[in-house]
Amino acid sequence: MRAYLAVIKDSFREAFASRVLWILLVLITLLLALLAPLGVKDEAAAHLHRSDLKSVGAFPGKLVEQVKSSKPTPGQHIWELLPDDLRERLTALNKKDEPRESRRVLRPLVDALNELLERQDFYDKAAWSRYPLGKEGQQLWERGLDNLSDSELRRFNRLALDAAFPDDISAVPQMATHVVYFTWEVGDAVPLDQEQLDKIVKQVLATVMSLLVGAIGVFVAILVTASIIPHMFEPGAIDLLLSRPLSRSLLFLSKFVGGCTFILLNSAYLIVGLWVYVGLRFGIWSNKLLLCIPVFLFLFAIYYSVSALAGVVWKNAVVSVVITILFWAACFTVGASKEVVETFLLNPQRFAVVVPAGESLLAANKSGDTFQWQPETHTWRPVFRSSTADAAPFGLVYPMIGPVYDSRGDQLVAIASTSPTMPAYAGAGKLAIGKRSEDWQRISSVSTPAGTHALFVDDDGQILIAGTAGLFRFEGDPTVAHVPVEVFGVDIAPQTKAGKFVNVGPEDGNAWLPPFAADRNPENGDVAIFSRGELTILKPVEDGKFIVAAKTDLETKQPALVGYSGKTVVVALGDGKVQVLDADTLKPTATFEPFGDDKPHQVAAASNGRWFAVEFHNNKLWLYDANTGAPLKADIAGQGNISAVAFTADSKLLVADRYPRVMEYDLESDTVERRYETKSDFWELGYRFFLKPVYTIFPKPGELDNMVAYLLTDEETSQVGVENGPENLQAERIQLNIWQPVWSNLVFLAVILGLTCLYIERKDF
Amino acid sequence: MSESSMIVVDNVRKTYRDGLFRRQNVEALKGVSFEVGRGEVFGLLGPNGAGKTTLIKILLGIVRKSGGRAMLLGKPAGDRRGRRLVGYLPEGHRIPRHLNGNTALEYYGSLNGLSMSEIKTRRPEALEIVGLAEWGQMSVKKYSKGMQQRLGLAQAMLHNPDLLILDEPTDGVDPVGRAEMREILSRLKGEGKSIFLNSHMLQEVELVCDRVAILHKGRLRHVGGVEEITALSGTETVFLLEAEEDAIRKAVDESSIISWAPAGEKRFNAGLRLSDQQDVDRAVDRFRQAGVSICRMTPRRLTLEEAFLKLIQAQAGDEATRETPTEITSFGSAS
Repeated sequence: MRAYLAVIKDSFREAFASRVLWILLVLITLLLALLAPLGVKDEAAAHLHRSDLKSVGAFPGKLVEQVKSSKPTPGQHIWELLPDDLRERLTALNKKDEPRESRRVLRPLVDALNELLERQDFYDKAAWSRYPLGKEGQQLWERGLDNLSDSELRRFNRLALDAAFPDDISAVPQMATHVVYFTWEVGDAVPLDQEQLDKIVKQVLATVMSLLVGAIGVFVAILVTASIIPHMFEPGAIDLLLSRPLSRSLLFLSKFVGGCTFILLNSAYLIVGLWVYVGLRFGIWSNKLLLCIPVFLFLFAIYYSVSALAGVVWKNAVVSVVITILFWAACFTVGASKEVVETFLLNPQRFAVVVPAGESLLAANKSGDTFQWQPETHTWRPVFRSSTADAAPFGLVYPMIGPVYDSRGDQLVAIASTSPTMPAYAGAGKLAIGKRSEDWQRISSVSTPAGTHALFVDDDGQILIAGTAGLFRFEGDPTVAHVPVEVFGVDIAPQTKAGKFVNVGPEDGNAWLPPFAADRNPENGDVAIFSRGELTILKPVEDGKFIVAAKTDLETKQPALVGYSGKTVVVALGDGKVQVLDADTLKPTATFEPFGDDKPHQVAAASNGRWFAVEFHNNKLWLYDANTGAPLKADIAGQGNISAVAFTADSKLLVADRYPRVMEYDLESDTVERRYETKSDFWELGYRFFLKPVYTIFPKPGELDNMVAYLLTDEETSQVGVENGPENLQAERIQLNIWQPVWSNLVFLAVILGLTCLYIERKDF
Repeated sequence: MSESSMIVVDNVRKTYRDGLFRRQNVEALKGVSFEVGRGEVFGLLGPNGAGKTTLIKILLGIVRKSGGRAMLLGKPAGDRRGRRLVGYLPEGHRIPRHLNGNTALEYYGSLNGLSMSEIKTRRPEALEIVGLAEWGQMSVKKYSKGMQQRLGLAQAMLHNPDLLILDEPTDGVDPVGRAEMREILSRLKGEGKSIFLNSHMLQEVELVCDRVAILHKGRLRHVGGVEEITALSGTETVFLLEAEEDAIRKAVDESSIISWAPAGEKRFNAGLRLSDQQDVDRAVDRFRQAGVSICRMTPRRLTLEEAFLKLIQAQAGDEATRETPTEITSFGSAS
């Protein structure tokens, strides 16, 4: 052992003798020195951002609307304080009704409001008489505006602004964060709490480390270390080693381990430096950051094993580098091809919603396209297409809530976005109806209230929607096409022609807060609402309104999905736990953690109140049997590829997987009732029989970035696109491929090192 | 075969495979057999491509033999236990350039299983012996060729091996250095070490070695003491003869004439290869019968170098008609 340790020790000696190492260490020191003054400063949040405006066009309109009021309003008061030219632009804007112009005026308006937030006369008690301040605002008011510091005054004014326009301006968070370099503030304060700051810092760290160590560092290390093995096997050098009483393989492996010292020294220095930096400057002492050192070492070892094999065979450093680059290119090509085919060709086609419609089966894919199963031809026929009928531009989708099937009207009901958007953005939705008698032709109806999350249709064909704005019932005929009249981008046309959404409760008028989820019990029409950790059961009463029947605090900050049927409520939380509660008492009866901390994606409840299905973002299905109070073991095909789940009216389970195929199960007998499966297309076949097998056996060094991201964020999935507002569990998430790359890379490393050892053992030198 | 043999080589063969599909066979060793005894200084001689380095590498397990039996310190060639007590100085060795004299000995000493304390104890003496005591801190990349050879020798003997295998130890060393190297080898011999020497410097081999083996085209031509080798090719006897040249030449076999030079009117110096006294008597009788006067007769022994060249040339001539010469061109290190 002493001899092999001597080889490793010699590698350190060799690394320290390398000028490149010292140059890199100096560069890393400079980088850390440059980073050191960069930090954040917390302050009470007050700054108004454009993104705080819930709808870009609505706020100027609301302001002008309040100005016209006969009673004193905050809008009137603020109007008086605004500069003349801005008032003129706003007035002219209201006449012209041009959404584009309204967006243009928004920036100066926000800037002007931020200036006004500095003023003591921003708040006028009379004007705000009908807009009560919250608890914090009240406390500040009671202290007297003269006694407030500048930042407290800004905070108070911002709270007053929020109270005046609760529907239009997002509530200001508690704290805001300023980026500072030395003592200079960089940009505006960003409303971030410590948790969000942690997340951002860690994401930036993961990116920086992947770039600096994972890409540049590894490449430089490959160049620097490429000559080590060829030099070892040069005539005259190898004789000095092989003539010793040592094992050839262990000698090579020691040299290989020693070759990794270069990247170890660099990555350890940088990562420990970053660890100390984020700890001291941001208070984030993430020990998992240090675990990134072995991850990057492993990444380098994979490339280095190829370089070493080439070095042993050809004894030439240039050949080693060229072969290593070719290997990287091959890995990149295979990984990128799989990603492109999955993300842009296959995933958008996978079913996100399964809709049993009587004897028919419909399903909607992740692009927002709906299809009906054609049993004669075994194909899926596009139906319920939007009036524009255009395919969404590359990478964008038409977000949709539903569709759900209205058995009474024999029609599909959905809340559909009229414009394509990023998958994570839930655009402003409009009610959409498609009657079977009209071949499911989509009719666009009225706009839904902002913040709508769930859509239900009861046995009488009543449309209910639930969201943070409340619970609404649609009154009128939804199939009458709605002609929109937009002001500042907001539809202000009277909704009486087509119908309108009427708030049906609950009476206390408090809007629910995100994270929000809801489900309707098909048996009794009760609605379960999850709002920021609180679970409420709403019961319909005679006048069509809903009253609170039960309420409990689940004491969680996690987002959730809710399934409600029979006497059971199933709450699937964002941390991977599934809570089962008795619907009457809302007492928890059981808690499960089916797949660790994997997040849930969909919850479905059978109408018989017995079975509940939770589909997770790892594309696996978990079943719960309320009769036994235990998880249900059923033979479900496609586990790991499941994309949607639903129950039929007679409590048969429908499971959609990636092929795209829907299987119908009878959970009572644990049998497959029906299969809705088409012939796979070219891309699916190519993916299944070529790309996926090649990808599976190929090493995946590039995907170790996922491990870095996982170590820093603790999440195995990441949301697609930019996060907009509170986390939405139903939004598409990317399953971070964390462990498979580790195993496949380990196998690859073992095979390459094994082959190299075999070659060395058999070779005459 | 003796139990005390340091090296036993018995009918060892080595065939390299070459060509695109490795179908071309190149025989580097064609059944070589000899032994090296304990405390013996043994020289392996042969022209380039004879298979000398291949044989050494087989003994050390760096190259695998194709057939036969090879033993090193009583263990099969390639066995790690055998290599433990062997010090090896390869031809054209390369000590990593990031090391200095001290760290190089530390590194190679550790590879031989020495502890740091053992290395620190033995290192000064080893450097002293090879004349590098003052250069231990200097980087190897600043060493001259001769200094590198000395350092190579120091690393080979650092772990106090029983057998030293030295492949061209005086390569690149100046005459003073060669003399010092001879001294070191004599000293090691005095300490009872066995030395297996592969060198082109036949003068040194003659001065240092107890026995030599001559390897040519993969075959062992002769093994024995230096005197036996020089005697094998026949002793030269130089005659100063007086007679007509034709008469002298008719009196002797032309093939036995090694040298011929006029030494005055009707006088010639003729060097004849005469292997024993009977040959001498026969030659004198023939000269007298032919009327040639023998003015002087001086016997002269060949040097090892002369004997080696004569043996190789003579056998090359003999074999030219019998076998195709083995030319190893694909294996740079195989000589």
